[in-house]
Amino acid sequence: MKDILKKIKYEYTFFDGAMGTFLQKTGLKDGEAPEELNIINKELIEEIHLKYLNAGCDILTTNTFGANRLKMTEAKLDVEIVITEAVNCAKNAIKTHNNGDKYIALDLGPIGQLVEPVGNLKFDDAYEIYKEQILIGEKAGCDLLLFETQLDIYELKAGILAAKENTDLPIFCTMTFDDSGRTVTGTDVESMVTFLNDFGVDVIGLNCSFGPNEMVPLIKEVLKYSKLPVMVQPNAGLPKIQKSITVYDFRADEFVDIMEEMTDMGVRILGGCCGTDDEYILKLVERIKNKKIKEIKVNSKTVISSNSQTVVIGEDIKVIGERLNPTGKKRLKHALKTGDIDYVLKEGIKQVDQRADILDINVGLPELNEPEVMVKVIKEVQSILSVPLQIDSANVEALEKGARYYNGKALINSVNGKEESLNEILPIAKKYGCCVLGLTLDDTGIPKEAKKRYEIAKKIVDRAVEIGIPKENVLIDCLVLTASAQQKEVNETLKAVKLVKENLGVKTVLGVSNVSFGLPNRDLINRTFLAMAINSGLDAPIMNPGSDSMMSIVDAANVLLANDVNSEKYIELYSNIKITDNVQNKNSDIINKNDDGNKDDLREMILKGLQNEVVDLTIELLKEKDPLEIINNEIIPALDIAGERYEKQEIFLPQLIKSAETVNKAFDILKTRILESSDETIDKGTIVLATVKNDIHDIGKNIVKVIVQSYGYNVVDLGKDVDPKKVVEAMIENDIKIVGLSALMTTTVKTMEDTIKLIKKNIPDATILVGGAVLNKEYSDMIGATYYCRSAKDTVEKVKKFYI
Amino acid sequence: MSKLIREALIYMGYRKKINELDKEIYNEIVEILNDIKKTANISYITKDFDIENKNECINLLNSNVKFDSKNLSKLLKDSKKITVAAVTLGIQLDKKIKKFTYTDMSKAVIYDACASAIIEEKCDELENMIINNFPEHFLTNRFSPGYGDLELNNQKKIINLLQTEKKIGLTLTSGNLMIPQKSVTFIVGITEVEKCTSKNKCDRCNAKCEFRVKTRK
Repeated sequence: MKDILKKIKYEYTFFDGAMGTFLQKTGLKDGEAPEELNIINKELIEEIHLKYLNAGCDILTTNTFGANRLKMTEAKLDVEIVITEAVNCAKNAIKTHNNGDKYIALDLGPIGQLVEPVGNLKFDDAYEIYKEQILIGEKAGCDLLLFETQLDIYELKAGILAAKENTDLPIFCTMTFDDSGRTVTGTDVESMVTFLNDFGVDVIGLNCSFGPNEMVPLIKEVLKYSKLPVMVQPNAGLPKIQKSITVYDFRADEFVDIMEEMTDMGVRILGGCCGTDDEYILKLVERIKNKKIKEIKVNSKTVISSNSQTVVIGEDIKVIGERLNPTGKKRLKHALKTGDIDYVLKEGIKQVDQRADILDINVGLPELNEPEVMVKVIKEVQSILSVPLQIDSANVEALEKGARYYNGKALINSVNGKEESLNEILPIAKKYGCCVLGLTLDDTGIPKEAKKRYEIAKKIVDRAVEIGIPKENVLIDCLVLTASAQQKEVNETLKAVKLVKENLGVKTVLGVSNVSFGLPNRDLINRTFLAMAINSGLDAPIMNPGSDSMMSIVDAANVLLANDVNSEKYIELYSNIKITDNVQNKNSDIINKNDDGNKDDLREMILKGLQNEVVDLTIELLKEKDPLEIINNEIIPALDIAGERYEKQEIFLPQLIKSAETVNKAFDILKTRILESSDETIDKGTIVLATVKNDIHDIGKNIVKVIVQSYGYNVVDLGKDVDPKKVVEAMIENDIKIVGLSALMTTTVKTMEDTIKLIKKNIPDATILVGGAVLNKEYSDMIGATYYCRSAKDTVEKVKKFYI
Repeated sequence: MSKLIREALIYMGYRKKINELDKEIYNEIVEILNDIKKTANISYITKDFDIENKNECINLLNSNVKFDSKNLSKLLKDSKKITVAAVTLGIQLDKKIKKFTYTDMSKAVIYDACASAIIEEKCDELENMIINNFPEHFLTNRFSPGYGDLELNNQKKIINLLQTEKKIGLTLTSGNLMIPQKSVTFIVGITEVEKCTSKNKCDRCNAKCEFRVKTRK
């Protein structure tokens, strides 16, 4: 029986070259779907396949690059017919050729629309689109799947999942990079390989990109990180336009020279992309076929990734930010409960600015639908931050969903020594190719002695390896107990870390801050314990990166353990800092002083937009005044002045926003204070805001949001591209009768009108505000809005009027 | 640089003279313009086509693409050739602007306006490159899907024609909006007739738009 996976283990394997190049030569016009030829000119497609077979290739690629539901609908073609006929063309060519084992790869190009949150195609829709192609391809008789010229690793994840969950066909994946060394969606080689390595595909590599010369350093990197056989399908040189036709500047011999260089580096599977034809493949096969295979050393580092950033654990101390966990944090709890994603994101950004390498994401609150919220938070965080995430939950479904919709290779937190946990969690880590954190506890609880914790750790590692998780993907947390309650066991934790490190050779994690519960001056206990734990072999503390003293322990440890080579990072961070005592108050000299050397009052700060300083002053003011007094006597008057200056054009938009944001910083402090003292909130009323369906420009809506919030109103922000139904649901669910809709394009004014109609039908007494670059009073009346708002400030006036 | 700053300021609704501008904001704008130029992945693609222009329809020869538009047909009345172009500032810039909307909205607004100014400038540069390909010829004004009567769904044809997804990472949403957001596609006619084109770009457009700049007569 023919078995492609066996073949690639022992010998060089050859794909065909370009299809499009031939088709253009034979008269395919610009804009025409090449897939149509599978139906109307089968002979041509078969002839091209046959040329490649005669040149000596092993694998034919079907003419189905764009044969997905979206592109085929556009071209008025049927996906099933196109793919079935494409596979038939390849089969017929193989039959005619009738010489040796040949394979058919179902070609799967990118869908053509980007997946959320970058684009507006749903991940699940991308999955369904690929699933359809794959099922038809398998039924038609293809031997393997080739995801190629992929641009977005998240879309590729949807495709691979569709493959793994619906067929057993081998999966080959290649992505295309530009001259910045990244895909157009920002993925670098290391992130791509890290993600694909353990995700259950069979071959990875690069294709298309720019010229073959430029591909050499990138393929070197693929080989450096890859655990899998590597393939390459470059173009025939760099594209040049001659008489409005694209030509490539490498002759076949030059092409083969570069390919030979890449086989010497360890590439096993070879073929051509744009501009290559059967001559290239013939010469390639002739030169390479009988060469000895070069074995590559397999990389076994512990590494996690996002779509554009990788973090290796175990080379230097890596910090896992602990702040996105509602346990003991009232403000975050409130934000999660009320769907205030902005607060969550700000906490995430803050931790990254404080140099967290990884963020822990925990949304465990009994009143929330945890799996749903987990996915939402992961998507939102990943839409603005590149750090890899640790998905933290006691809810199996939240972990599974989190791992599924995560973009990259995540760290799952956690599994433990209980049978049930091992049986449920490890398969998730295996399926999604994630790293997994094992806690040293089991049905008997957390053992007191280090040795017993080590035994549980060993059990977890063994079980993981048994089901096919590479050992390097397992990390162990030996669990920190509080020194105030279980003083003697603190040292047992440290001993256990040492045992795990030395005997199991896996990386270790600890939730450091637990140690100091119930003791005064917690930071002192925390940082002392951190230093001790690092010395015992801790690789990644889960901690608050906002603690300067703890971060400085990490920085110093990286110097002392020779992780920070030549102390470069340390010197960069600390050479300009004057050490006065242990705690540094960085801004103490400049805080709160204006030009005359006097302190600014809150009003002045707001007008100047001094966002950093306003926090301290608000805290100061709270000692004397209550929050409402501050709002009514200081904040609102300042905003009114700013608004007036804006109307008179004394200041303009960015300055007005700065003032509003300064106010919002102060509000944050005030809200936290109110939450701490009671369960009330500052509530002057709430407005629903949305950028309408099909419109993806939301900067205007976001400006409105900041300004409206600064006047003390709450905003339910539905985001952009919002379905009319969702707007109505949000209004009913929150019992809100006022809504602001934004549209930027003339074409989306139509969807704005539809949204208004639906709102009026369901909530006849709703007040509907509209705004956006293309709107005016006339349009607004025509589509049935209550008010047209020509600016953010104008919106505030309308909201004020409503809530009087 | 000053032209870019002027343009960015217009997008931010600033109507006064540059020298009356708050120094701090001025510096911030300059810094942001430089940052975008340095860090954005600015890329473009162009392709030339012979055309047939009849019955208010532009037919691109050697392709299956037609544009039905009275306005475009009028613009190209003296052209036998056109260049179709796409420019983008790349997806990372979108991500950056989005991040700033959470941490510093004012900065996000300035980034957004500066990015719009830069992509306009890039389109102007591209026009200069195109004209170099056709010595002794002139260019018509730029025209894009969504202008006049050229429906937005024509964007699909351009994206497909230039293979912008694969070549420069420019894609459309289901509603025919471009991602990355800071992207432009346009059609420009090549003519032998020099037309008096106003230096003020707003004179070439009939949209009622709040950014409109009046030409001083």
